[in-house]
Amino acid sequence: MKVLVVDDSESIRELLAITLEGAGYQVIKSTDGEDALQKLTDQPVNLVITDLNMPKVDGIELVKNIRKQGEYAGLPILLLTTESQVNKKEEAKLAGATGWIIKPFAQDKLLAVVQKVMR
Amino acid sequence: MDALQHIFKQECTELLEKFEQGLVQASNGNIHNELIAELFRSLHTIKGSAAMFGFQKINELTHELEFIFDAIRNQQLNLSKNLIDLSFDYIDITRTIILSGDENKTEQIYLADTLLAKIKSLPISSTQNFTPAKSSALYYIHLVPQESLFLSGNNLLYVLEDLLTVGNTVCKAFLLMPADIDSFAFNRPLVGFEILLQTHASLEKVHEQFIFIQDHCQIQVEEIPSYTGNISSIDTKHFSDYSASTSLRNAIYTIATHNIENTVANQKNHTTEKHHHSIRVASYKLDDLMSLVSELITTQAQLEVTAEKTNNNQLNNVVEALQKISRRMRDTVFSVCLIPLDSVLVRFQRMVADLSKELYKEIKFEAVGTDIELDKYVIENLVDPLLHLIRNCADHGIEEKEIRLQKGKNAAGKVQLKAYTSGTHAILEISDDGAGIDQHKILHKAIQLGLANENETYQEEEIIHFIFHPGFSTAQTVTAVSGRGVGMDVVKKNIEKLKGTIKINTTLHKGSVFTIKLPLTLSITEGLLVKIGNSLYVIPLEHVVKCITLSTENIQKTWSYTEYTNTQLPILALQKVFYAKQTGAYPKAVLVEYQNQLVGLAVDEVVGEHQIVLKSLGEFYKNSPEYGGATILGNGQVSLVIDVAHIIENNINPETKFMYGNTK
Amino acid sequence: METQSNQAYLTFTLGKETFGAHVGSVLEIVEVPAITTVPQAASYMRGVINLRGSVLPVVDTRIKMGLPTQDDSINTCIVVIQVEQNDQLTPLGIVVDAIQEVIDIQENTILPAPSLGNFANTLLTGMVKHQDKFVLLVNIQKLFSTEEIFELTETEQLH
Repeated sequence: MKVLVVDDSESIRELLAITLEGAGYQVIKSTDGEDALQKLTDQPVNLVITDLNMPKVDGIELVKNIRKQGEYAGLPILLLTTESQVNKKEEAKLAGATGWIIKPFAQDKLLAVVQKVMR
Repeated sequence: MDALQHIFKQECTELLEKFEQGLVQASNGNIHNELIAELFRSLHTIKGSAAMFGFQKINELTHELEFIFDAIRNQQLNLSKNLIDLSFDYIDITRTIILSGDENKTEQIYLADTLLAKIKSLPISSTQNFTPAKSSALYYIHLVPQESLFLSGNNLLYVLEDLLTVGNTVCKAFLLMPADIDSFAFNRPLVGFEILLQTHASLEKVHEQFIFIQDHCQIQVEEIPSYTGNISSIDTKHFSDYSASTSLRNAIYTIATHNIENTVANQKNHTTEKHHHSIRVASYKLDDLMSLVSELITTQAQLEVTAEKTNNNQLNNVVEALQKISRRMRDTVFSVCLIPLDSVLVRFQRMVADLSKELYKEIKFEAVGTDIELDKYVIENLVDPLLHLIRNCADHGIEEKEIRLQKGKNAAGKVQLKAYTSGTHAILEISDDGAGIDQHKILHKAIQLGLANENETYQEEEIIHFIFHPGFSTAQTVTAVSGRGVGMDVVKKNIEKLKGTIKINTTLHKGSVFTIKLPLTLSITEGLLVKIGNSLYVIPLEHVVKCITLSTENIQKTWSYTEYTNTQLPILALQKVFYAKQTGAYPKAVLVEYQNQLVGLAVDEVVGEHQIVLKSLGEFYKNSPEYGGATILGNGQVSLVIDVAHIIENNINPETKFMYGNTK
Repeated sequence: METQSNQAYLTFTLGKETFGAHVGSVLEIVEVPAITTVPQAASYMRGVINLRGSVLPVVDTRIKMGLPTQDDSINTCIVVIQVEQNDQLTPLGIVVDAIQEVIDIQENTILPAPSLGNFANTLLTGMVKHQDKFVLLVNIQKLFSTEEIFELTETEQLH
């Protein structure tokens, strides 16, 4: 199972990667939305976890762009965000995000959510 | 988890630095939307990571500040001076916490809570307006379609039309000429576009316009700084050259530059803000890359010679292309290891600003020539000594305001950092226009400490150099800023580690100058390649004034003179100095400056300018000061770099101390 | 029974003599490239070469050892060695007439060094017989250390 992790913060990216890899997922890391889109065209993945606020293409734009591509219509996409951006939830939902993880998150909670959407 | 903590700390430190740089820019009055967005984003990322890594206090602090910057971003609040100061405080506190790795120390909690209260008490509209009126930005877009665009179902014209909904545009097409008629094909794009877009929208918004075609086009968007006019007034007739793909860009830059000269005259000392987007690379990888490129150049030079012998034109063309590429590659790789001194400047500016507040002194910090590029290692190890010296200048050097006025000086003191290269050295001068160093005090203290003998007389220089002694401090009162008696000896040690020297020049009541001289062991400078006999030498270009052809056919003596602009110009025949046989008649002379006078260095041929990477000749040539080092030429040959001052000095008649044929 | 340690030595010729240098101090052997002479430097400093992007000083070993100079032949090559300089090891090239081979020398076969006019005895560590020829074992690090070279420079300047 491949997970694409998108976050401009290296520490969060690594934390996600270590957590997911520990649970047996294969992780592809990306630093921003633009790069993530490129990586998606290179290889299919089973799940995308992306930060909301990023340079270049931000999280919501990324979701929109992924949904635009027919083959990814059903791909689960989780958005990572801080509690202060909760008002963006609606926007993200409209764009086609599957779910929402609020930072800070506990590693086991993250895995639980991931398992839920992957089913 | 430890590795993650480390990544977090590093990332956080970098983000704080970026945030700080942005703030300094803002405090210089250079506020624009992009900057605010960037400041906001830095805070946002810090906040997210801090929460994840259990730094609750940082998270809380950052959250409050982020809220403020969000309001600024949405133009509900202006970035006031007060806010900038608070943000600086935020940086300091966060930095301390990150550094200690523990945010539960009482002192830190206290500091953080105090700041938190301050931020929370901020009214949502600040009184002191700092933000200039929001103006639109000008973007230059360079768009070259690729073949795949025609297959993607997108119509470029619609995209261009859509741009009009974002702002005003000026659009110019240029032809994409195929390399030769054979590669001409109807399914290839033949036209590219240059577009100027004046808009209130952000860079992201502009990029957004091209989302559907960006995979099928090469799109570059750059912001044209300091353009204040309205582009609808630009006469597009000037840009009718359809073969040039950057004529619009050049034109707008010309206009924008004039703009700067006309309207921004008050920003005279501003260094242009360059954004250094960067990645981290392990330094050993760079070292490997360096030696690989050097090997490549050598091998390539051998290939060139071999290829020439074959008389195979096709092969020679390929080799020539390869040569160009490898040269460019060499230059790029070399430049990768160099960073401008500017990159650490913000820390000095910051410190002087802080000190100024803390010491109740008005201090101006000036940086001159700090775009000089030095090896990253050197810069990293220079920061601490420079910080210390600047701090000393501000603390001990600059007098209290009243005293300055009494002395008839400007109320505001000046601390200057000046950088330049001299020969094979980089010189950094840290100076102040303050009180200077009192020799009597130094000597007195030195005697007290048992460093000096009361009955002996000391040279001025000797006395001053006592301050480099460990444990020496003459500060009358120990301030929090400096004067704890550690420092100058460490400064000296650090500079010596970089194989440099430090000197002090001081005049009582006038000020002091600390001069740091560092060898440019790995530094790129420009040189003039000359031929003497059968060898090529390099004369550093900074000494070169002019090249002339001598009227004498053959040079007979080491020194001679020639008539030049009505004076007798001394000519030193390098052919004689280097025991080389003169090749060709009518040698050239490279006029260089030596102790404020012109001296000609006679050479057989001036080959041209050359970018050189200076390498030390090492200990084995320690006794040959006439060479500043050596450099490896494009063909792999080693060429000696002449130390102009030394070579002239060494050849001056030791008895007369005079050059033969000196100006009469 | 006594175990004997073998030591590998690189042998090279200079004039009629064959010398052996411990391989531990030898970095590599390169052909003689274009050498850039450094005018006005000590005469035994042959010049500098480009060794894969770094500038390597090269000693004319013949001059250094007081042998008559001769033109480079097809066999002439540069042995890159490491010498100590300010407590650091620095590479240095030495020009030799020809490289012979690497030989294993049993320590108990090493004979005391003969006293040769031009060399201080401390520079020669011994001598072995190899295939009917004598190989002089030279302390190459000491021979070309900067201190040694400076000493000579100073005495040269006195004359």
